[in-house]
Amino acid sequence: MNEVLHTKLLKAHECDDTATLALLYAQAADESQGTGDTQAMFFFLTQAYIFALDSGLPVAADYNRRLAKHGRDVLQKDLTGSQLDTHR
Amino acid sequence: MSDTHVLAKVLEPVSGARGLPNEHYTDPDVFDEERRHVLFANWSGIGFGKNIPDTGDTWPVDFLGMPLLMVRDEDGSINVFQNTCRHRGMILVEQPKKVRGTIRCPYHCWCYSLKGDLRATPHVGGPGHNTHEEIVHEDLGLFRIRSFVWQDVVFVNVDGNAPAFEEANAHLLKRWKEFERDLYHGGEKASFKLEVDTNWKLAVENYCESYHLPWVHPGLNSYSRLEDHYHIQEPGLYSGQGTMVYRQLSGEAGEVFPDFDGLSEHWNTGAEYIAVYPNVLLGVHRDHTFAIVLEPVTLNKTVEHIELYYAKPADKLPESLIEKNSEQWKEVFKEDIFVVEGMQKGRQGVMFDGGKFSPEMDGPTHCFHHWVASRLMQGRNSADKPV
Ligand code: FES
Ligand SMILES: [Fe+2]
Repeated sequence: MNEVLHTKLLKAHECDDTATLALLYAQAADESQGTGDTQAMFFFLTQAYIFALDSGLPVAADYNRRLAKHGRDVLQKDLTGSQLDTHR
Repeated sequence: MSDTHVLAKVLEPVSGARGLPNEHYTDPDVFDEERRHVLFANWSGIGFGKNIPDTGDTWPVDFLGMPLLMVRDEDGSINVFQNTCRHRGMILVEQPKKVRGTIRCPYHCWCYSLKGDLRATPHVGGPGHNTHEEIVHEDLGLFRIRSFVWQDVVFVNVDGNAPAFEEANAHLLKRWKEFERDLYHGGEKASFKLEVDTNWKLAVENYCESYHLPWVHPGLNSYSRLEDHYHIQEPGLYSGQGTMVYRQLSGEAGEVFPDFDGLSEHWNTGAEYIAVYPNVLLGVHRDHTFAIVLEPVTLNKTVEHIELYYAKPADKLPESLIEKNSEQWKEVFKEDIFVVEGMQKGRQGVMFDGGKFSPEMDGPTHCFHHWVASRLMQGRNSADKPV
């Protein structure tokens, strides 16, 4: 993970800003995807999912769907997502 | 433990009965016994619906050391759970807060729905793997505590073995059927609590009786004399007192609170005050109700949580009266503090034998003692079952 993102994450953790955490972890997942590190990608996506769920962000449904598609989680049918599978 | 023979004396008719012996107010072992057989085995009050008005509102309660969590779900229903994560037993919610859809454990972030279902178990199968065949979500929901909301009071039966709330309180529900209606909490000014150095039972006992009114509440004498009161005593069920001369509070311009619609004539000047055993005290009048949840903090510390309700939302009520009414009740409840604290102190006197009831005036108090003693006897007789 790049330094800037790392610092931002620590800061968001410090103030328990879960919506920002969801966003930043999603960025980290994208970054890992870019470098082909699948292991790290699913780790960060999980983090993003939990914080999105906690913040009541519709995007939680998308993360959940992505995780479930790869056998990393159970599909939560009653999560209403943004419908647009923006993050692949 | 108190002597079972002495307890049997409590079960005699009021004229020959003794009150509950000292140990029931001074002995930590008896407090534990009552916790189990009286407060956990019956329908006890732990809070109010008004504490969690909206979806996602959560309210942790430490009920005699048992961590509970009240939650308002998407359907508007109130759920009560054990406030303990199914993973490593972390406390889930420490402060009242609003959650957005899930209750997230602060330790490893297992997430539960507002209905207590386990929804997410991050990294449970290793980093980035959020499932594991041994982690069956369906089996790992939050432990649900039986609950029932009546008169905005959240009642729970912790051990799960009491008859249904409607069954246990059928007689009272019928008696007060007319007050089965929407109640509107009077807002910030209609809410207060009193911390009292007394055993929780003494607060119930004092509430049930009208005998003390002329001495402890002389202010009430002018319009509410002893002979205007009647006893309410339903053996094995509940007790309290009623008045026949309730007068509405009125403001400077003669304004009054709006009445509950369609009440029968009886309530024009009638009002009733009933102890819903074990620890909830309710009062009903033509234009307001109140509910008191007694929180038994320790053997000799009780917090009285008091809330007032009206027939219309607070913004449709005469504003100055809300405060005036609260102040008036607070005054009355405060007048009672020295007696409930004094009776607690008095029970340090080792020769006190539970006391002698006035067969004429102490029926409602005895009714409560009889109920408590019966529950304890029942508990002692029944085989040990885990709580
Ligand atoms: S103790 Fe709650 S998630 Fe581990
Ligand atoms: Fe009183």
